[in-house]
Amino acid sequence: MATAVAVSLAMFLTVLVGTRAAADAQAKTASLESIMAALASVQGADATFSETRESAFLTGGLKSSGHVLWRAPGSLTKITLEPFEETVTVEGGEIKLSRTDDGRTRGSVISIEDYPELRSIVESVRSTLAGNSVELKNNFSVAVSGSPDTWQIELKPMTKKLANSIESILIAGAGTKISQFQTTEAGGDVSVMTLTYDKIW
Amino acid sequence: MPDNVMRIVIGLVVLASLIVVATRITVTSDMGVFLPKNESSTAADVLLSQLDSGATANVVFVRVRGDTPENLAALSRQLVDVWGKSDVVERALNGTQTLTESDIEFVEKYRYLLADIDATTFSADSLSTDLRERVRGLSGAMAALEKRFLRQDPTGEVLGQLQRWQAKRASNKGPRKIDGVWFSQDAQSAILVLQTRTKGMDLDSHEASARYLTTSFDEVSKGAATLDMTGAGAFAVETRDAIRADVRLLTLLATLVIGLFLMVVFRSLRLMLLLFVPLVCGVVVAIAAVLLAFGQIHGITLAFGITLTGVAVDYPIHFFAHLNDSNDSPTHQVRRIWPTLRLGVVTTIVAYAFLLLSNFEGLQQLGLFTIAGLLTAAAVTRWVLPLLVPGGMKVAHRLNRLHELFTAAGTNASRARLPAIICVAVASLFLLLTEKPLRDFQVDVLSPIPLERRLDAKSVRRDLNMWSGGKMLVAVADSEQSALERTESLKPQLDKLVSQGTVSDYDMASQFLPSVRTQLERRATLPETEKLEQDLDAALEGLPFKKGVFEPFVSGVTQSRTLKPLTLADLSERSLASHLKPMLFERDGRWMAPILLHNVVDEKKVAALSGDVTDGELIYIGLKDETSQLMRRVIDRMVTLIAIGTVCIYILLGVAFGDWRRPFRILVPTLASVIVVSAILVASGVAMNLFHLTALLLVLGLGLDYSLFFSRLPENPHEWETTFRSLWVCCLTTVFVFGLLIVSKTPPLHSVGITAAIGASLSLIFGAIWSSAYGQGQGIAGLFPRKNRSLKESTSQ
Repeated sequence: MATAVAVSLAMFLTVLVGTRAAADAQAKTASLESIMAALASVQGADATFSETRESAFLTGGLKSSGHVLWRAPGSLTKITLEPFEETVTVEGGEIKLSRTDDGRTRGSVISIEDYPELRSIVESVRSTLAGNSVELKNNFSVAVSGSPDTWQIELKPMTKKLANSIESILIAGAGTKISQFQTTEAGGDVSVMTLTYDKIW
Repeated sequence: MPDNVMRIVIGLVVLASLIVVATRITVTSDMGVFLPKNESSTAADVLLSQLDSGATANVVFVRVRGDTPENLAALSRQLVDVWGKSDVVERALNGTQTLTESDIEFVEKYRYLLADIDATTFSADSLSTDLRERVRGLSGAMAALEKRFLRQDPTGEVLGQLQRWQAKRASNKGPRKIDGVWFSQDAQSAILVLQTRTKGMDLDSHEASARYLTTSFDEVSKGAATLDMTGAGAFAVETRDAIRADVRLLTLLATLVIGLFLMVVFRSLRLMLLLFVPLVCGVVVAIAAVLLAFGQIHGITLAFGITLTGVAVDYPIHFFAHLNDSNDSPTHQVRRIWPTLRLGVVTTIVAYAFLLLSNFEGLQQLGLFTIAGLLTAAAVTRWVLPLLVPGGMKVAHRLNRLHELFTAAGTNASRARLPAIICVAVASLFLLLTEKPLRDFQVDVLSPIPLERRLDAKSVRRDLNMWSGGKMLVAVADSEQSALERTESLKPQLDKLVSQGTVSDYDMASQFLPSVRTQLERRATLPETEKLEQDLDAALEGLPFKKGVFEPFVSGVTQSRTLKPLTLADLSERSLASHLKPMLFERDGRWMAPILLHNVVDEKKVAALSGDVTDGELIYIGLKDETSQLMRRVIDRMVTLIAIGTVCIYILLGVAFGDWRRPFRILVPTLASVIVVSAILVASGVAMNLFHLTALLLVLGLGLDYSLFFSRLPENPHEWETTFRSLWVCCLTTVFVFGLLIVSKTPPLHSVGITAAIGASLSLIFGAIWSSAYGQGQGIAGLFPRKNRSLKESTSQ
């Protein structure tokens, strides 16, 4: 169960890595280190997302859309507007969830500390942002390809627990911006999130 | 010669006692002996099970602090790894542990018997609502979580159950966590909870565990972090060590101080050592007597008993102080004071004898201990000690200036009678009228752990957001099932209390393990396969789920219709059982199901529930109140018995003196010092607990002893001097010994010390004030005709 939550958020946190990576437009060839080296300069980004989820349980893809907001040093918010209102914020050690049903808003808070796998992902991302990709490489095999203009980062889990629920995370970027990222869950469910940027600074 | 017969008897008794003590000594710490014997209330049973070592003694709360939170968290994980694998620790928890996969599968299998479902749960309408919810979930941020149980459990029963087992409540955020491990609210210390394999209150094994934990901690931790352990077992060891260290130090100091003092007074190493002979013999015989009568001796009996027997040091002091330069043999010399000494022993024993009539084994033990100890000490002083004192030994009286000072005060003391009477009257009035608490009934005070340590332990529990103990409703029944049924029947009322805010939440066994009856009822509401499929199809209308996705759900419901209901026995192999243990257990053939109440705002409302249940028993226990009431019964019983004892002492003295007015001269100063000590303590903000009360018993004994010796003063001026000297020496010795206890940080020792030190001084002062100086009243001669004869013989020689 914990792993499941971890996966939901892994996707989320890779946006964070991706956004930062997008800022690294100067490098001639894309490498994880070179991408990471430029991250500290990004103060924030506002993007619009549309997401399609293909599930083995569903006859058609589930579509959703809304906004993603990134604020340095570590706050990420995903606001889903369609097909229903939901806001998820990752900040510090907490994940805040709020949903609006028939005009009523219900909230809940999950501590990432309750989910060790989730924590290992958070730690991976945090340490990577701090210029240390050891933790990330302990949990995922990282493949970076392409040029600074069109690059791809592919993450594959290396621990069994993570691999039980996640197959791969693929982040694609063009220039300074992530164009898309794709999460393939164990069992074959795929979700594709496409981003367009309103503001990045 | 009867004296020799007595010596042989004493010798044999002491020897036999030594053998008994050496071979049979078992010191217990089970608080049960301080519970009333023949009032077996169920509340007391539950209380006992709480106090009882069994359930919680092997839980150790570990705090690691003194480093950065990150380092502490990493250390906490390392410690769990190391300790989890060791033989000493059964379970090591630091917040990173979740239910095992096997537990989750178990809950999943039994979901429709455990979860609160009814006939409408699987209706087409209800299913439709749940399924729409699932679709929304799948497109939300928590999609992966939705997927885990989607196919087999679209109504979300498993998640609900798992959350319950993991104690996630809405009102309770759980302990603070940093890097996934438990921390105190101030983030200063990482917290671990260990369950050791230690059995009950075996202190040596607790000590071994503690030692293992400390050494392994030192190996793992290389940084600045320090380890701190609390918990019943850890406390017991700490207590023993603290008391040991305190006693060792204080004994050393006391021996030094008394030794020095008595050396100065008597100028003889031999006499000084001999002083302790009666006391040691008395204690040995006393322990043996208790062991023989009760089969065991309680730690508290031992400690208090030795305290009360301490009055026996006075016996040889009286004897030695009365050694004069005549050619009388020591045996003859001791006879001169024997009538007074004997009367002192007899009256003190009468006071303590009433403890035997109490229905608390602890107090009975104490009574027997003191009686046996004092009798032996007196007998040794009378028959054995004279043999050890060299004949013709003259005590070189020193400290003459001090003696003169005391004498001057003593001879004029009776002038202070009016101020003394006023003082006692004020003290009595104060005790009658004061609003300050006279007595402290909290059972906590019996704990030798200093207060700040106890508060410390409580703060750990608070930091972990654990049920902090104290308030619960207990359903009592003849079987596991009826206990569970009883708690189930209370659910509506309990939920009402929660919605009214009277309690914030509650935990009870049937939330985790419903009764067989309820499980069967739930099973019966499960629809037949065909009906379920029809309703499911209707509910799926218009939803994007693929065909056959919910087959595991349909087959799960079908299988559940033939599942055998779960009982406690089915859980016994699982870690789930340990969650249930405090909420459902058997005791002496009765099943108890405590309903643990969180944050009780209005106790009356909760207690009123126990009146609602007519069949069988439901008891509300504010644990603190319950223990307080027990203490109240112990203390009140003690006070009553002592009061009766005092009346008996009066009668005894009246008969002995052949005069009904003279006993007042003995009793008035004694009771005056008891009253004034009590008033001083209460006025300084100390509510008296069992320890103070025991020390007051000692004051009573000392007071009787001093007053009796004062009352023999008029015999002749020379005797007056000698006796007076022996009295102030006795008194100063007592004040030194108990005065040292005041510095102890162990609450019981401190309580006893302060009470006895003040009490002994007051006993001497009041004794002097109410004694008549030379020539007034009658001598003590004539009280015991036969001994009187020997007294005359000794003086005529």
